[in-house]
Amino acid sequence: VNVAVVSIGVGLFAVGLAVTFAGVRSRPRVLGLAGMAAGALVVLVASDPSNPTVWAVAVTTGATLAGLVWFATLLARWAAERGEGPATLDDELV
Amino acid sequence: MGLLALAIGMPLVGACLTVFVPARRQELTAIAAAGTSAVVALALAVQVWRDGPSVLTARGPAGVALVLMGDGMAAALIAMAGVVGLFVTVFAALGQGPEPAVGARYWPLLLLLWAAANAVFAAGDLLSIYLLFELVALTAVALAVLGGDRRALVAGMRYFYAELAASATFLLGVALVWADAGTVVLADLPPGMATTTSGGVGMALMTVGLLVKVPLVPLHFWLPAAHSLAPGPVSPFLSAVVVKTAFAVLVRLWFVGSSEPTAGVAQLLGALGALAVVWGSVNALRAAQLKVLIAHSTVAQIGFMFLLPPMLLAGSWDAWSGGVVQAVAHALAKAAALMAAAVFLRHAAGDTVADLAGTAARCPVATFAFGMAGLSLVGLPPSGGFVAKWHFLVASFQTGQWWWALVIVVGSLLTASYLMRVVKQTFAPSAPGPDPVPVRDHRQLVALALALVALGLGLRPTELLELVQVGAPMVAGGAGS
Repeated sequence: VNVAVVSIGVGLFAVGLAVTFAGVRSRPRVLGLAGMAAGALVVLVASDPSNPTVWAVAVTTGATLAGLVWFATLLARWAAERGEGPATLDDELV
Repeated sequence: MGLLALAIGMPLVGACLTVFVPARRQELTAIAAAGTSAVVALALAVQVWRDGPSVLTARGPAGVALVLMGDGMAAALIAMAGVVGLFVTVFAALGQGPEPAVGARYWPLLLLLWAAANAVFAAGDLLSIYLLFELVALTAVALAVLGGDRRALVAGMRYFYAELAASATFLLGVALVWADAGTVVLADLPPGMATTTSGGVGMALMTVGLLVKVPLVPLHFWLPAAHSLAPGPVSPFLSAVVVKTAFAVLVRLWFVGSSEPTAGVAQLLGALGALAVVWGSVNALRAAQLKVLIAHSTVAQIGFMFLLPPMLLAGSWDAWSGGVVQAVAHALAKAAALMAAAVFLRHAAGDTVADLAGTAARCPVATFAFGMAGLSLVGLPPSGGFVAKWHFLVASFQTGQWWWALVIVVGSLLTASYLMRVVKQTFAPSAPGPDPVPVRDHRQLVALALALVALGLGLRPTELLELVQVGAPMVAGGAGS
């Protein structure tokens, strides 16, 4: 395990997490989620970078994560087209 | 083992077929696929109950493996998904016409979600679980936003963000555990793995990710809006089946491998469960809208399932039975209650509890169904909910952890209180005008039939209790087989 690379991955994950929960609009939140996913993938690869299986798993999981991030941007666009406003949903519901 | 693969494959084949058949044949194809999937799921349960557990493993290099576990918990949850899936499919098919159309995308998404949920229930390796969770998240959110209005989309976005953040957290945990243990197979994780730094952090991260996905208070922020704003034929499957996927994985993660939680972790999970019971119930009591009330009820009922870890770790066999039966009983009763609620809302003036005045006269069968489902949710005999809570009560006294018995009693009283709000209002006189007449909505019968199944679980629980014991974990305290 490469400690330096793991640290970079964990750092990227932490920054992504902070951006996700600090963001009030869709774009920074999606970017934050992408950062979290990228950080997790970096740690995955750093566990054994010389192992092709690890890379194969990283590519597969990375592809699915990219697909999910794309879907998140799609949802955000649909909501924006319908007039996404501040998150007042809880006030409306409870 | 063939039946286990079929239980996952049948809804998947159905999903593919509903994409390619002409639109006018979609419903019929979906019902046929749902019926076959339900029969296969029940046959799997009988097979596991009679012949014992089985494991399907395909091993690759570097500790990577595809593992499917056909044990009692998987079979019981797959059977539960089969019954709920079949009833939801028939309910949705009968709802076309005056009901807001969920569109042609509903059928393939529902069947794909069903297949993914079945696969999660049986998955025994972390990488498969991770990938399957992605499929569950994608299809569940796509179904939740099918209604297409702004509020549903915003709620769906929040749901999806939570799922994505939870998935990334889970993946980071998988990476650390894989690096530490050299395997992703749950049953092969070494004893005491959670006590090493990277193993412990990895297990903690996976647990947090799963708690968001379940969700357990205080990580439940996405559920009430997403579930209450989902279309009528979608909410039952989300509330009954999807929330159980992460719970099943959490139980496998901590108890099927050799990495039992510490007593502190188990008590913390139980305490969060107790908090969920109270928090969800109080919010259900305060909720003005019917579906929001039921969504908060889901948060509370999930809490009961988390009484399993502390008492199972202390060696109580009944805690295991209580936890798994609660997952099954809640699914059947909650799906029936949501179907009844969808019928109420179709024929009511608005979507609040106050708008339900006169509903008992308009929708007598649905009202009866809601009441029957409520009996199980409260935990009154004879019902599946009673069987679950009885086993939890026995476990709490067996282990000397009497405080969980208090949670069960208080939680049941709170459940009765918020459900009575709804039932009482359905019998309230409606606005001045002509007397309400019973509506012709055959979906009421579907809701009633499922509510009776939830009730019937309590009349003959022996087979289910024997099934959930098949291949159950052996814990330090002595429980297990």
